Amino acid sequence: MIASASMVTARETANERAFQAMVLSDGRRLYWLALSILRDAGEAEDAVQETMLKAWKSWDSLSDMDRPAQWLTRVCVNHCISRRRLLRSRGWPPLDLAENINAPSRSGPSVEDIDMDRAYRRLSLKQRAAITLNYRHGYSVDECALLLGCRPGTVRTHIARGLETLRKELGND
Amino acid sequence: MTDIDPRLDERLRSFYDQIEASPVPARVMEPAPVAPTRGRRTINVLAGAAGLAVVAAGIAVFAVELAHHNATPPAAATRPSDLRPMPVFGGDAIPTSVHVVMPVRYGSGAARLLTFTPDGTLYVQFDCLGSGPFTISSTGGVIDNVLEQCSSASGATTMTFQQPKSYDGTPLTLTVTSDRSTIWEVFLAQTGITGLPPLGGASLPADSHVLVPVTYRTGAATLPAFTPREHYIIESSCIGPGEFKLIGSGGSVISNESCGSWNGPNGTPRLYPLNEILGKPLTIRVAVDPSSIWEILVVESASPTPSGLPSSYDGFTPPAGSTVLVAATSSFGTKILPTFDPTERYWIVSTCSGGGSMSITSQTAQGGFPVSSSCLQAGVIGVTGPADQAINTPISLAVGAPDSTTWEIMIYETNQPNGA
Repeated sequence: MIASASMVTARETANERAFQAMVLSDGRRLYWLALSILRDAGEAEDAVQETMLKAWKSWDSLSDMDRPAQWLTRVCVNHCISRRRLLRSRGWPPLDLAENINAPSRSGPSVEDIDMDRAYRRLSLKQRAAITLNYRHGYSVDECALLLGCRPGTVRTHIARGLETLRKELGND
Repeated sequence: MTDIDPRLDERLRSFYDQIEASPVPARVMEPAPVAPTRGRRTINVLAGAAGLAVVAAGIAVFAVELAHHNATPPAAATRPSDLRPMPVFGGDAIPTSVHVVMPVRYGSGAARLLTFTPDGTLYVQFDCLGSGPFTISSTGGVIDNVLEQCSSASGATTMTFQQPKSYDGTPLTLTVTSDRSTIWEVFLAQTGITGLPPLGGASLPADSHVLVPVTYRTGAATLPAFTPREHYIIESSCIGPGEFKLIGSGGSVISNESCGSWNGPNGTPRLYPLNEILGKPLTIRVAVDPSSIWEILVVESASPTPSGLPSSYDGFTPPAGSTVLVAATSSFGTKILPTFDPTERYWIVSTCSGGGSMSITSQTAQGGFPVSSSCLQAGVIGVTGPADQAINTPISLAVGAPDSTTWEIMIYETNQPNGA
């Protein structure tokens, strides 16, 4: 019995270490991804923690996956989109708060930064996710489709319409 | 990736750069059990998985954490102006070759910083300002430093710690204890990572200084944003399967090599990226297999060598026991190298810069082999052992490249099967 208990403990320790290594390697990436989609530091933090919680609950299967990072990304993106929908359906955040969610730095944001942030907030969550994954994180359209759970054509549409909105809002067209 | 017009591309890149320059909350990077805090849902993952027996312990942890939370104001996102810039490298401080365990963290009062597994010599650098004592300690008693009175007068303090012989490999948790009014910053690094070579050797330009300290990870990660003012150099190493891909801001691929080969017999590979954009924040993302271990150091130097190639490439040191057949030769465009007469299997070490591609072809029928490599990744070293070896036959190699491409080549022979 004692030997058996030791083995269980050793396995749990190994799992915890592997899990911690994954959090260290992917936490920052997921946070920035979530922050890019949600534009709210607290909500982004929650999204990453929810993702990691799901990862831990599914650790037995996740640790055997070839590409767990992709799984994490998909879960995180889905959480961002569904969570924000829920909050919006409840009228949160109020518009004035949403416009000032990110505290300005000591030197203050430039006019261009404010314009860009405001324009970006006009995008739908899926448009933000598609542009962030494709433009910033370098995923192909097909990979974005897998991560967003839609067809590649839909991803292209999200990206094209999102960029079009940005151009209009920024007066780039 | 989608094509975007340059103006929007620049603004989008800047926008994402700013997002990725924002501080990552500590809880995101620490999967250890934590207590619920103001409005944030948190993971009690490790404790939660252990069942009812752990619930009781969890309650105790909650009580401790709650007390801890009450005493712990949120960490500051930026350095308080009264504290000195950190980390400080060189001299009596921290050698540049260390592996960063925890980038500089700012805060006040008491805080639990991170849980990590020490390897080699530990370097703890800190600065603090406030009344009363200031303590940095870890579980297991490996790190234990108490200042009776905090003071920033002498600047950052660096301490080194060795693991005691009794240390059993258990991960350590680093904690800071101080008055609520005391502000502090802490940086943690260590020397050892099994299997990875030290970075930042003496062969770096003398005037180089660190943009991203030696950072190591397992799996994909994004490096902290940095703003190069001068030409920057990336030194890196990787162990594991699959690719080792460095992706810059905007998704531009800086380097894409096999992780397993990114640890060659000729030293640590260096990149001298072309098309640098100076004066703007740059974020490098490392895309690798989740099981691959890698490390990176980014420095910048005001004295770049022509076309991004170092004047004397340190990777051109022939391995011990080998014989140099053609000494390191640098030139540009198409040239024919001196004839050599190998008595053992020979190896070609080469690098090129300037875009386009470089080819190396044999001028003899016996030693025929084509070698061609892209020069887009300046400074990437290649080691080739031609499949069609000609022993005791004079061989002359021709290097073909555009005149705008500079290259450096060395040829040696050795009886070692892998050329090392």
